Amino acid sequence: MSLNLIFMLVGIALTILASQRNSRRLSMVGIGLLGLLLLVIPFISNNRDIMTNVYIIGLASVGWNIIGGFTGYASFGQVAFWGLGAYAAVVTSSVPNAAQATFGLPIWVGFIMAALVPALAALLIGWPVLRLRGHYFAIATLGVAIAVREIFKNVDCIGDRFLCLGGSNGLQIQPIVKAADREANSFLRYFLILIMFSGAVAFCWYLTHSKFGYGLFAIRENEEAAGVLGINTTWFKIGAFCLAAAFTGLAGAWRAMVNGSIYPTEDSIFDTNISLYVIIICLLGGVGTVWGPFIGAFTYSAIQEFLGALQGVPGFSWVLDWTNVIFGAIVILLVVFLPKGILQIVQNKGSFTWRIFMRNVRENSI
Amino acid sequence: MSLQVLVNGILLGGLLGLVGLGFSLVWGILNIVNLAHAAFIMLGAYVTYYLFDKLNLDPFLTLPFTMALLFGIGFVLQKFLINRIIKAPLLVTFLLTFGLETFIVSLARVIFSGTPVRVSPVYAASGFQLGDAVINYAKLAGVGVALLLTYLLYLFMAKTKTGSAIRAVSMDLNAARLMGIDIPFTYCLTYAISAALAAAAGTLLSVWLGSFTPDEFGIYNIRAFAVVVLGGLGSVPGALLGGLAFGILDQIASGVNVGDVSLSAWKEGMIFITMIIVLVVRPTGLLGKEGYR
Repeated sequence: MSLNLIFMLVGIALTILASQRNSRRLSMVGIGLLGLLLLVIPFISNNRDIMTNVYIIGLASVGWNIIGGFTGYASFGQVAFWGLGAYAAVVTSSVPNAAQATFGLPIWVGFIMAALVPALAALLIGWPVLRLRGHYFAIATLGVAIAVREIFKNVDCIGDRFLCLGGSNGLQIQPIVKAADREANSFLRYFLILIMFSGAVAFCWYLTHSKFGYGLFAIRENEEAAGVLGINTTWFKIGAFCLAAAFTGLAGAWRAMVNGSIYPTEDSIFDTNISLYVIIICLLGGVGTVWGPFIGAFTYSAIQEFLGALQGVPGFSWVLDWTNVIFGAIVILLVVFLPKGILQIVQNKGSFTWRIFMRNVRENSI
Repeated sequence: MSLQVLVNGILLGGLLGLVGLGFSLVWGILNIVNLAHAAFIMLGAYVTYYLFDKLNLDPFLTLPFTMALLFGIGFVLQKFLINRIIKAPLLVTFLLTFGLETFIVSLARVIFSGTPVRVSPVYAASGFQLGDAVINYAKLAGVGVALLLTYLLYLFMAKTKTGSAIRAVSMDLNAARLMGIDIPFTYCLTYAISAALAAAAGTLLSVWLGSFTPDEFGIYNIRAFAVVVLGGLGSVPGALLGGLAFGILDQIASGVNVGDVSLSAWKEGMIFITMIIVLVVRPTGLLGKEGYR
């Protein structure tokens, strides 16, 4: 059994403890132990990059949770911002060479741009698109994701080699890190991503206690009523969309940094499945909750890791072919029996019973 | 624009209209964006392939059987799975169909394997001359079938009692219930019809595509979106019109150069930017109205 899988399972348990509402002390103990676990993981894990990836997808899910969970506008095109963030960071920070004309600015400038560019794009896109609701909004964001991908596929240079995106050749990230530095690098990366991810979760906690956050909840529950109460629904929605885009963009930039190159294709930085994974992660944990994306990212990765580990067990090599079948089945079972996520079990008043599942089914059946 | 471009656009458009038709039906009546639609198309194509390859039956002859089979699958799925979750928020039903799509497609990859297969009846490559355009027999027949099915669905929705019941359910659920309409059954029927239409599209596509694998059909979900948005949600003629608009746009973009830039690479981008503009400016599409027609 892989060590990372154990970390993930312990992480899930501790997050459940941390998200307790019944006892504040228990919750603080949970947060403390969780912090300790996350700090020691890189020193004992045999492959800390797997954990790094958990935080990257988690960070993107936190972003989706702001627009999809808090505001109730289910965006199905987060990968547009993921890709934009990745491109912004690489174009800004990668050292220019003969093959590509990038800017070569310090890496922190790259990360600022990775949050800023998607947020600006969200401002432009959100203004028309956020007037749509329900399915129409979902489809429009999906269309935006495809349109953005097609633009990156076809645009090579803007101006005379002023801003080059590489077209369908993508971009390579320079400088290439020396093999000896890789170890130190993956350490640094782990902690930086962890800080951003926990920072994002903490920000969401702050959001749920702020006037802005209450405005978003009001929009989710009833947009007309929220408008009547004096909330500027247009700007609240756009604000939430921009925040979501910024977090997702940061995550995308990290993915680009870890991979070392980006291509504007479906199986690279514009992987349509990213849009769906962030939603599934939020759904696993609990849509519209602070801890939802956190617990969801761990659970989602634990499932992946478990299926991966199972393939190595003698007699279970068939799992390789069946991974996606099992994944699909899990998604189906999840949405049918537990559409409000794992946190519903935890925060259920009284103890856990199997009746929760049946109650969910009854509620949604016709 | 040459005649050939127009002909190709119409041929592709009729087929895409059929792809969009079932998708639009479920979306309009059940308020579900059915991502499993492409999976049904894929199943239709594979059923056709096995009947053609093992029993040497013509794809157009086996079409009713394939449709009936998928009708059954769709009915059972709706009855035992989707009806269990139909009252949940949009996001949940959307993800359920995503799970179904993943499940069916990856199961198909295990069972059918990823090796490309082909349905190639003897007449597949032959066609006739019309002016300076060549029209493929199989594709023409495919569009004929697509038009016929669209017309039949239109008649069914407009003239029959069951069709009226389906429309009533989409207009006002509670009023429909008070009129004595069996809502769960109506939902099952709607979903089953949609699956059958997807199967028909799959059969036609299996001849159209030459060779195919289970993974190649996901793109038809995205195309169905565009077709439905362009034509207007909840309208039978709208789906056809949206399909034709998509097909002709697609073919024009494939063959035209602006200066020295070929539009071919931009065609998908153009179609989806058009889709977003249509969504924002006229969310009901070209022919869409409230309810279902």
